Amino acid sequence: MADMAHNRLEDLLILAMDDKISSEQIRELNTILRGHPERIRQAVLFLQVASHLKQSKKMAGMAKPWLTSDSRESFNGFMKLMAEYENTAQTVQVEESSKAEDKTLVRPVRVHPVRPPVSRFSVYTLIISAAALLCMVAYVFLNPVGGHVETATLSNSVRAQWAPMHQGQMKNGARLAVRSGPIWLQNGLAELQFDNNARVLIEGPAEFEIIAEDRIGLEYGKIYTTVPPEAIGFSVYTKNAKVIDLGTEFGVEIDSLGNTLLHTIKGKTRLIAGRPTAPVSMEISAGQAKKVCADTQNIMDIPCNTHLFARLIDSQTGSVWRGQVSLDLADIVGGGNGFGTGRADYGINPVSGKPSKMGTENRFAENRYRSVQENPFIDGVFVPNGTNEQLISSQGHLFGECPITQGLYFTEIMNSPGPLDGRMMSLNNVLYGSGENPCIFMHANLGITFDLDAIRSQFPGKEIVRFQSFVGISETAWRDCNADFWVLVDGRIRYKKMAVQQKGLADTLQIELSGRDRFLTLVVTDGKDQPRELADGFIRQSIDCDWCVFGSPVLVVE
Amino acid sequence: MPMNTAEDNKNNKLFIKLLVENQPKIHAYILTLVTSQADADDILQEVCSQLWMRFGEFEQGTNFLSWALRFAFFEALNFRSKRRRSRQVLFDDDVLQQMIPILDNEMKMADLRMEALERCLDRLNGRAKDAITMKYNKCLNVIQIAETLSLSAQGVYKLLSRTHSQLLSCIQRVVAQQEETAHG
Repeated sequence: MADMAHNRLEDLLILAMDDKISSEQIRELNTILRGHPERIRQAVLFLQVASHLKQSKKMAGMAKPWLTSDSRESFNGFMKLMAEYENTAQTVQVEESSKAEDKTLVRPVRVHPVRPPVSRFSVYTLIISAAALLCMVAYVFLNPVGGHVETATLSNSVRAQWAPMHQGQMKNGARLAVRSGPIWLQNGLAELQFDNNARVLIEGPAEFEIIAEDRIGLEYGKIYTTVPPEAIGFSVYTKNAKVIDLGTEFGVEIDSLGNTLLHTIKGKTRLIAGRPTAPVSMEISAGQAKKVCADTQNIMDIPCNTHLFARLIDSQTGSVWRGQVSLDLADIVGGGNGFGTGRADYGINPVSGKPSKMGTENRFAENRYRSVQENPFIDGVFVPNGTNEQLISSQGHLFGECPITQGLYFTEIMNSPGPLDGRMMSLNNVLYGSGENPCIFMHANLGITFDLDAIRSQFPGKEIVRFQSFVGISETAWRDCNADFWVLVDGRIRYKKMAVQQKGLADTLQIELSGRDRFLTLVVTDGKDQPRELADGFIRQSIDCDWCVFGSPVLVVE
Repeated sequence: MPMNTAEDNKNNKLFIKLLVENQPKIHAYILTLVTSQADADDILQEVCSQLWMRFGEFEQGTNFLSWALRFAFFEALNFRSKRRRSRQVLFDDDVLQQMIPILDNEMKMADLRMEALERCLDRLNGRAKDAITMKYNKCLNVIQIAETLSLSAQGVYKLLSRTHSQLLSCIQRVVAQQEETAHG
């Protein structure tokens, strides 16, 4: 029976490696494996054989020597072949010229002086022409039409890499003039604030030019334009279209084929495009998008992508907001800005307040509130213990109901940790610890306070309206558990669940927030159970197996 | 990483050396988690890119493979999560939970097994050897292999499955012999 299961397992794995396995076969495969560590090991080793075959030098050696996957070997092999060829190649004979050619190339030339006639009329004409030219040049410099009239400021940039000729000039605060030539942004994002208050966010690679005080030309790349009422009429020109703002936010992209793509996000725009002999003018409203084909000039409907364009950037934090509605707090714990720039399996030590990998040992600590200097979005961290007054913010907010705990902690406050004792975090069979299912892992006793003002400053004009999270104790914790979950806003308890002893999803949180709220604090405490000795001699501490998870914790932004 | 200092050049060479040494094992790890060869190749590319960008965080003298496998693990998990939206993933969460510690443990023997494989390949012959060569050297698909060997597609899958199994048995014997010799 065991052999049959093994054979069947291997047959299914071969199909899976070729993407030829059906849903029913997948279910069968998992049934064969579930609860059978030896079969799982067999599967692991079987798959590794396939991988090793792909990497095998012997397998690769059956091709020509200099076509191996190792680039160094390839290069050396190629050079060896070239050297061998060099040694064995036939000498090539070059014919020498047999004619004795006259090699004299330069002959003396006699120059006869000539006196050209110059009339007075010619002289007067020359003088007048020179004066006129001088006046024209002076006029251009003193009354510039377009060129050298400054009309916009480079107000912000994130990871911007400019073409070499612009690098000295393009720094935050630089003034840009009309018709000063094309500008190349090779990578990153740059924001231009026009003097008429229109704001343009350019995403590289891009080439653009400021055509006039209310007009920008885009050769290729992406730009997002936010136009206040006083700047209505601001326009984006491309090779095959003009987009005129009618009081709105819109994005324009020139793709690799030269097509113009317009996405109107708010308000309305006017699109003028089509063949030069028969231009078309149409109004494009919020939620609509059009594509102007470079080759045919045809105008087509396309889906409006509200997240395609960077809409707000912050050079201090490197934040880029593309209209996402939620901000990942787990990412912030990992040192990020809430949009995926943080490190998974990384966190903050509650005693030092410093970024840290996960430690796994019982440690005692005082309940001092530590500020987190390295992270602008986190106010502080602590090991909660109501034995003494529990401070939970830099502004003096207190956690009045903080229970008395053992003062022990086991791990750091973690963003999406890897396996703990070989086990991933899981709530109701959803694995946490990846980009799609991030979590803040807080093994009791731990507390963290987020600075909502700092987070808010990334989105001028937007509001944080809600905190959302799944909460519970991971099903994968070894033994029984007992922990408390708390959520406080400016020191006021907005959620608590005490003595959670059931593993899995305990609650789905939706906590409303307002513009006046400053600090969001998450706390887990050890449930007040006392240390005890188990039958096997193991001393069970109060925090053991309190694997507390805030799953997919986000701040909703509107 | 900019290449404008001697220190940078040294770091870049070290990165290449470590990656070349460990890439086969990283690939094996990823393939076990995602199973599809094509997907494993894509994920490996992404992982290598991340390793390159974040090599500055690697503490020299520590275990590069362990460090690299963390990135591989998360990329594979990300891939699983994305795939769930459109298709079923191969291993369900229960099975994956059980698999992770086993996989971590087996990675320690990866070098020995790869060496053993080179010896075991010499012992293959006949259609088994042809099928493996066509699949992994010539990169033919199952239909092409079936036509060449005058087999049905199902027959080819069976043949490949048995051959992989034979190679695995051979590898395990060779490794066991080496361990016996090493420990006297």
